[in-house]
Amino acid sequence: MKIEETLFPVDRPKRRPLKIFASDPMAGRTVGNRARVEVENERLDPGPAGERVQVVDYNSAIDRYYPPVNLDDPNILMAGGMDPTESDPRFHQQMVYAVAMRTLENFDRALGRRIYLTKKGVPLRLFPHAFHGANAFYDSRLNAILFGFFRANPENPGKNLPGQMVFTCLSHDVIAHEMTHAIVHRLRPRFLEPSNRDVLAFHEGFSDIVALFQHFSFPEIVRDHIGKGRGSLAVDDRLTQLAMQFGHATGMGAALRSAIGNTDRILSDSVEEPHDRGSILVAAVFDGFRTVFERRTRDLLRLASGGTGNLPDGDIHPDLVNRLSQEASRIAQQALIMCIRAFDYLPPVDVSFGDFLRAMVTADFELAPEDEMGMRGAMIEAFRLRHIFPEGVTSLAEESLLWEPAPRELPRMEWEPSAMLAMITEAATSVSEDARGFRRWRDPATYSGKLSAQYDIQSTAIEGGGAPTPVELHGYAMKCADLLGLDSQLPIQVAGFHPVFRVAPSGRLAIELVVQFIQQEQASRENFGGLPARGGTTLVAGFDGSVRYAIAKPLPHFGLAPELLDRATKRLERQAEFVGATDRKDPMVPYMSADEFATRSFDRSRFSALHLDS
Amino acid sequence: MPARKPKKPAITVRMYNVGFGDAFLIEIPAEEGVRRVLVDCGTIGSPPSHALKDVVGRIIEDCTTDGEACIDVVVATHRHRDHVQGFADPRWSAVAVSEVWMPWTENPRDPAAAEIRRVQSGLAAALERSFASRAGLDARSEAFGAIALNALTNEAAMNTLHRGFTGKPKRSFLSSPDEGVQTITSEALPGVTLHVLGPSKDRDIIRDMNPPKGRSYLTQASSPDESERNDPFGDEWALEADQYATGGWRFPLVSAEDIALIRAQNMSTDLAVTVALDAAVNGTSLVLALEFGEACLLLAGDAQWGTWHRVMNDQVAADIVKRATFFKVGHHGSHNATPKEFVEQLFPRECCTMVSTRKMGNWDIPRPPLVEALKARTSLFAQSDRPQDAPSAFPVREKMMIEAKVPC
Repeated sequence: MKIEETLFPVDRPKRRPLKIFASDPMAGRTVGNRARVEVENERLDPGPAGERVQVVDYNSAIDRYYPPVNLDDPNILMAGGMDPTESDPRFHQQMVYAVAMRTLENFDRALGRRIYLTKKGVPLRLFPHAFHGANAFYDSRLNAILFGFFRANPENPGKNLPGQMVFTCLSHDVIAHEMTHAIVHRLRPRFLEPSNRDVLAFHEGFSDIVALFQHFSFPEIVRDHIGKGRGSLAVDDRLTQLAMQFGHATGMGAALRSAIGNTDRILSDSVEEPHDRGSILVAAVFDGFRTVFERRTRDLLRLASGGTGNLPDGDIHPDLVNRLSQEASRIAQQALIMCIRAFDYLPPVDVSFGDFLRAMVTADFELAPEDEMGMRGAMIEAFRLRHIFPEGVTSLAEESLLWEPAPRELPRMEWEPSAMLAMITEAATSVSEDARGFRRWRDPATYSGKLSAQYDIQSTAIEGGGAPTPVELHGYAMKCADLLGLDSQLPIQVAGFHPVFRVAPSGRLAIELVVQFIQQEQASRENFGGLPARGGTTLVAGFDGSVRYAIAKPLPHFGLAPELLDRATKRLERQAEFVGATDRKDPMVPYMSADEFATRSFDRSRFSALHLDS
Repeated sequence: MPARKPKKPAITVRMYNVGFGDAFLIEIPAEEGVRRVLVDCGTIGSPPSHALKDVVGRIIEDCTTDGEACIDVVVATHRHRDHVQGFADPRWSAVAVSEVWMPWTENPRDPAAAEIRRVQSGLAAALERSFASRAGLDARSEAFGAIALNALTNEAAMNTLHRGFTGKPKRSFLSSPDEGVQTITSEALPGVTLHVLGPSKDRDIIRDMNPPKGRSYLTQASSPDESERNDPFGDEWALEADQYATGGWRFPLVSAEDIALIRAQNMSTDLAVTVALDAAVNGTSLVLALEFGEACLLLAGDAQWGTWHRVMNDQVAADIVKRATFFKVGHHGSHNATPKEFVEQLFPRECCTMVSTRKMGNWDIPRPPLVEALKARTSLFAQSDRPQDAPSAFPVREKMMIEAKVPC
C-alpha cells in the first residue's frame, strides 16, 4: 500500500452513485428518464454481488452466462455508474442491482432494521435474463427473482417498435414489484397462502404501491410531470402508471393495471383476480396520498396566483415547480413509509385489506398520535371511498380502526432493559454499514415448543443476559395462550421476533418488540386444498415489557369468547368457500391428478402462479 | 290374444364410445319414423377397441334408411377436437343434413366472434410450436401438449360443419340473451322446443373466451427466429459455462438443480396458458335444452362456470334445468364443467345421465366425487367406457355404444 493511503486515508464514501432508466427504456431519451440513484456503498464483487443481493446473469434459454459487471472499475466509478443502454447486459445488471437495493433501503428505513433476504447463507439472487418470456417472478425455492425478455407484439406493439426486444429487468417498476414480493415473503411467509381473496391481492397491490411511490423519488420525473400537469398530479402519465413498456409491448395498449383515477373501481367480492383486486388497494393508497398533496400545496398555489388559487394560463414558474415537486416527493416518501410500517402490526396469517388499514392506522398512531400531515385521515377516507371496510369495527373513526389494546390481564414480559439497549446498539451499528464486520442482528430461526430439538438456541443473534429468547417467548405464549387468542391445546410456533426502533416526528425514540406466533391444525386440511388451517397472533410489546397489542387471527377453540369463536369459525368457513370458488375458475383443476388436486392450494402458493401479465 | 299395451313413446339417445370425446345421436319419434339429431363427433383419445372412423361409420349406418343417410340436425357444441374431429371424415359429404347448429362464436360474419377465433387459434398454434420445440418432455407435459392440440383449428372438420354435407343445410349460430333463454322452434324438428341456455354475448362471458394470460403469450411466441429469440445480445457477449467457471468470479455456476427449476418455471407458463385456452374454448360451448313432450334433454357441451353461473342465477333458465329428464355431463366428467351447486340444488332426481369419457394419463377425469354425487341422485347413470356397469334400464350396452330411452 502506498504511503499516502496508509497515513492520509480518504474516507470510504457512504453512498455509491449509479444510473438507471427511471421508468423503462420505452420512455427513451425524454427528460428525466435517466435517473441517478445512490445506494449504500457496500463491498461488491463483479455481478454485482453484494451482501444482500447478487446478480447472476444466466440465460437458461441457451445455457449461457453474460459477463458480470465490476462496479468498482475506475472507469465506471468516475462516470457515476454505467450509462443507460439496452444493448449492454452489464448495464442491465447494474440497473437490477440499483433498484433492488433502493427498494431494500426503503424497507430498512421504514422498519428501523436491516432486512436480510439470505437463504441458507446465499443472498437473494437476481437473474436479469433468466428465460425467454413476457414475465418476471420471485421464486422462494430458488430464493431468486427471475426476469424474462421477449419481443414486442409485432402487430400491436404500442409505443415500442414492432418486434423490439423488451427486457423486464429494465423496468424500474417490475424490479421494485418483484423485490417487494421477496421482502414481503420474508416478513410474512404465510401471506403467500391464498386463505382469502385478499391475501394474494395484498401481495400484488402492496408490491405495486412500493413501485409507484418509488417513482416519486426521482426528482427529474416529478419536476417534468408537475410542470406539464401545471401543478396537479394528473393521471395517465408515467408517474402514476406501472410498467408502461411491458403493457404496450404485450399488446394491451396501455400500462399494466391501473385503477388510479378511475373512481368507479371499488372493492367487491366479484373482483377476484389478485392483480385486479390489488389495483384497488393501490388506488386507495394513491388517492389518500393525492388528497394530502393537494391539501398541503394549496397555500403554494395561492401564493403563486395572487391569492385566488387559480394559476394563470401558460407554464408555471420553475420555482413553483420545484417547490411542488419537493412536496410531492416528501409526501410520497411519507406515504410509502406509512404503508411499510404497517407490517409490524399485521397479523401473521390470513391478511385482509381491512387488516392492512387498521395496521397502518395503528402503527402511525403509535408513532405520531397527532397526525400532523393529515395522512391518516386521508387514507381512511380514501379506503372508505373504495369500499375497503375492515371486519368487526363499528365505525371508520380513527379510534375504532386502531387495533384493540391487549387485554389488561396480560402479564408484563420480563427482560432486562440493559439487554434491550444492547439490541439498540446492535441495530444502530448494523444499519450504518461498514466492512469491518459488525455482528448483525438477524431474524432468528423459528421456534416451536414441540420442535425444540431442531432449534439451535445459539443461532439467535440476541445474546447477552436478560434479552428475550425464543424459548422464553414460547413459554410466555403457553402461559398466556387464552389471552393471546392462541389455542393452548395446539403447538405454538414462534415464527419470528424482532425489536423495532423508530424516531417519532416529535423526536421521541420508540422501542418495541414484535413477536409472531403461529398455530396450525391439520385435521381439516382437505377443506382448504391441502393447506392446514392456520391461526396466529402478532404481539407488540413496549420497552418496559408491557404488551400493547395482541393482533390475533385465532383458530376456533373453546378458550375464545363466544363472539370471537363465532368469528374464527366463520373465517375458516370463508376460507373453504374461497378454495371452492377458486377451483371453479382455475382451468388447471380438470387436469390435475387426484394427488395434485388434494394439495392444490400449495401449488397456488407460488409466485410463478402470479404472473405479471394476469 | 290380449292386446299388447301400447309402448310408451320415448326418445332414444345413443352415446357412442369415442373415448375422450363426445358423439351422441338423438332419435325423436315423429309421424313417420324418427327425427335425428347428432350432437358432436370427436375424440382426442380413442378407446383400445376401435377407432373414431369406426364410430363415424356406425353413426352414418345408424342414420341410413333405404340407402340414404339423413340427419335432421347436426350440433357442434364447440370447436375442440374432442367434439368435432370426426367431421373431418370424407364420408359426411354424402350425408343429408337439414340444419347445423353452432355457437355464435362460429358465425363468420360476427366481428367479435372472428376476434375470439383469431386469438384462440393463434394461441393454440403458438403453444403447439412451443411444445414441439421442447425435447424430452415428461409424460405430464406431453399430456398438456395434447390439450393444446385439442384447440388447434381442425380445418377439414370445421369445413364440413360450415360448408359440407348434402342438402344445403341451414347454418344457425346460437346464443342466449343476456337474461333469460332463447326459445326457438325448428322445421327440422317438429314438436321440439329448443332452449338456448348458453353461450351468451355477455361481456364477462366474452372476456372468459379471451384469456388475458394468452395475450402476452401470443406476442412472444410469434417471433420468427428461434435462435435470435432466445439470445437478446448476440455472440459477442457470450460466456460459456466453462469460461465463466474460470473467470475468477466469486459466486459459483448456477447448479443443475437450479437450472431445472428455472426451466420448469418457464414450462409452467406454457401449461398455464394451455389450460387457460382450453377453458376459454370450452366456454364457447352451446348449452341446449330440447323439450319434446315430457322429455327435456339437457346438453351441457363443455360449458364452464361462467355459463353455469348465469343459468343457475336466472329463474327461467334454472326452471328449465330442473325439468331435465336427460343430462349429458359436461367435459367428460371433469371437476369444472359440472358445478357442485348444480348437482346439489338443481339436478332432478332420477334424471337419465350419460358421461362420455375415458381415463387419460393421471388426469382426475371423470372425477370420482362428481360421479358419486350423480349416482347418489339417479340410478340411471351410464359411462361410455364402462358399458358393463350401466344398469339394465339402458337397453343397449356394448363396447361401441350405450343406448338410453327417455320417455316423452
